[in-house]
Amino acid sequence: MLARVAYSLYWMGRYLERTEHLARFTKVQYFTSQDAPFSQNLGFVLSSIANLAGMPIDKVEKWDEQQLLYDVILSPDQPLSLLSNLTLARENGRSMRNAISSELWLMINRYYIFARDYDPYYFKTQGLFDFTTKAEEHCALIRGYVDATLTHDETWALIRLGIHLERAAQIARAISCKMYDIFRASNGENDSAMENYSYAILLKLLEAFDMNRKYYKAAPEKKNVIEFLVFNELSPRSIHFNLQQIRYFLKHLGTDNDTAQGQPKAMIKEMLSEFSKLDYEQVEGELQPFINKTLQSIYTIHAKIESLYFRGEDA
Amino acid sequence: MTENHTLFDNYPFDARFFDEVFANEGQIKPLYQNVFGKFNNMDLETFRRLNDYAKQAFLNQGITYAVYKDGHKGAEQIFPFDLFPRIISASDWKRLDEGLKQRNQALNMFIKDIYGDKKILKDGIVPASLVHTSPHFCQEMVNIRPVGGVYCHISGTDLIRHSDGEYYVLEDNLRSPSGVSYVLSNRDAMKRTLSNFFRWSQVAQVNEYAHELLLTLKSVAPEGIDDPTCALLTPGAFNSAYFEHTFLTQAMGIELVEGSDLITKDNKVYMKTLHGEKQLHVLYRRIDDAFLDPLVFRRDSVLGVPGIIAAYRAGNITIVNAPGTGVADDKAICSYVPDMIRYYLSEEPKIPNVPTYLCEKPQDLQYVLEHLDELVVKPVDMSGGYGVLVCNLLSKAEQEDVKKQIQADPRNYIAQPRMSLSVHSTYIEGKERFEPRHIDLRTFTLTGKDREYVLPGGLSRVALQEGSLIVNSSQGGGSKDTWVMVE
Repeated sequence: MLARVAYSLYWMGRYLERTEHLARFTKVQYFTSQDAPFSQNLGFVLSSIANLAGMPIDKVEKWDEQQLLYDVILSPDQPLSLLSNLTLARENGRSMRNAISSELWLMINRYYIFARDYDPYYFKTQGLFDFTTKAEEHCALIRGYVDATLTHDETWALIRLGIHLERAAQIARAISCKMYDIFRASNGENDSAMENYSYAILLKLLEAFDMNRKYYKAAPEKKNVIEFLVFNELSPRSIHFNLQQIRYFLKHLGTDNDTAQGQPKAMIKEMLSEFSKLDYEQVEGELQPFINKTLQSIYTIHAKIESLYFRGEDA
Repeated sequence: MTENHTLFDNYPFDARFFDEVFANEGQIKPLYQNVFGKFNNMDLETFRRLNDYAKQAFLNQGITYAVYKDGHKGAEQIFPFDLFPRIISASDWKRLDEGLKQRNQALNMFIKDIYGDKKILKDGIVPASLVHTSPHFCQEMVNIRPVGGVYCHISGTDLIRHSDGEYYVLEDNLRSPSGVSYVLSNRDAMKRTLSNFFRWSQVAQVNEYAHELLLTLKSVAPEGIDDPTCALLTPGAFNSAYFEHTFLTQAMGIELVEGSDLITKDNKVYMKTLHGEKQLHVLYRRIDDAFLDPLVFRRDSVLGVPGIIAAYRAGNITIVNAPGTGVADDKAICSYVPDMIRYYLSEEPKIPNVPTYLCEKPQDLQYVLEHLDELVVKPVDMSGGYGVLVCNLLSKAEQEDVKKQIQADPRNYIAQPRMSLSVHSTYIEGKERFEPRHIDLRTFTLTGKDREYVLPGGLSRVALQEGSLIVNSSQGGGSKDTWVMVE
């Protein structure tokens, strides 16, 4: 497979996963704030959405609600919007559509056309739920076609690698953003009711609420939420699970092995080894630095993947 | 327009043109009876729904092209598709198939000759000056003999049907003819949209084209390579024909490469893959000669591969079509193809050329200047309908300007009589009914080592604007599925 095509496949996976995350985060954050038991003014909710979307939150006060949601989701002029990410995913798909199945390309293109042609006025006035729900459905369909129509070889592995690396990063970012929200909302004081509510929302943001309840058979609270989202090895919505997936898909690629220091396979092996020795109690006191460090490690692995596999440079 | 009008109400039959569907006002030709009946019995709402479905299917599948305006890439557009198929009888097609093979044999022999012994020039059949002044004559090809002696592996010959009912060759496209992906996509769209139309029709298949193309590419692999690696070289995702490039590589299962994906070492060409370098043996290039190798042609080209011409000359890679084939689709040289057929094959041409006046010839130039109003003037080296001047549509002042342009550079222009391209019933959305529109036919011929193939039918292109003769997609053209009936 051409290195350029491999690069496009990997990024297509990342961009698609990012669109789903943006859709789900915006929807959950916006709609759960409508009847939140704790007063969350509009600026607070909007800044939380902007923060996760990677937009500068210091400008939030200047935006109106409709404009912010439009900028995060549907604006073609905002480089971090869902539509911009989807356009990049589709361009990556278009640039190597001969490498994927016609059916998968059709699904990606349909998702793109749906978003591109969505009526901005309807979106701003009443379409947020409809759009974000359908965007999530499009993403689920696309993942299905990735698994069901592609030969499970390098092409498939590269898309899945992109998906899981992006998901691991987005989970870490979502945890980090929510912890920042809690810090802001509590004004530094201990407010366990507000904190537990916020962690329950975090589960919903990551589509992990139901499985968390099923797993713990208890109300969500900081410990079981962080444990579930960071260390659980079976939940597809945990960092640990996605790191395992990254390791699995990396095995399909490249010529490095997991003993080659500083190279992707060795790095992910080391990271997983560290994760398997940790539990909530060990990181509780330094949770934010731990999440930051995890996110940084994921980004470093990404950089090594790019340089070694796609640019042919010695990592 | 009322809801209960039929799709053919007030069909404006025009006796000046050969109508493919109607023999006379209200009288349908036998070849079209069945298809016409199906459409004529369809209510407007049903047709609208089918038409919208077909358009949406093209959009969803990304069957689009990019239009360039003022040097900038425009939005992707669907190539407009008309549901009423163009039908060619088995007997007409048999003659066209033979004529296209004959023409391509002669053209390949001509290219081989002018880069070799130059007999046809020495014998005065084709003026040597015409060949050596062609911008597409490629000095690097002199005395190179490609595998199987094939220079032009893929050619697109444009045919028209005049008011006398005869088919004529309008021009040859011997560099990178495009459009075949629309032929295959149109057929798919037709089968999905009007599936019951095919049940009672004996229509020749077109979907074997990709397989035939792959066999053609493999047949011209360098000597000693039994299992060649083939790839298609694209200028990139912003090229107007990019959909076709992806379509063909997917259909053939070969790699779609850009110049930056390839490197040359020791006069061999390699692809940069995830697992290192892999040698390439046959390259179907969809970029012009000028951009192919910055070491030989344009130094500023970033689309090509430095050193590929040296690898080609060393016999380590086959370039499809060979560099320098464009010399034979120079519109001035094209006018000599009937003479080439007689010279090389000792046969009479089976498909005549549209009569062509070479402005370089003094007597032709005089005729052109005196009869400009009756002629269509074309630059010899442009394609896509660009530069074509239908002179009776120009003002007197514009005609005078054209005369000055021709006189300043007569070698660069040819002129042809205004041929009455045949018309075909075509659905006009704004009017919600069928009307006659001018059409042509781009055919596709493959030539490999000891093999040749003509795609049954081809791309029927439609000038959607009323009265227009320009069928190119870049200038408001559309297309139809083309049915070749099987006996």
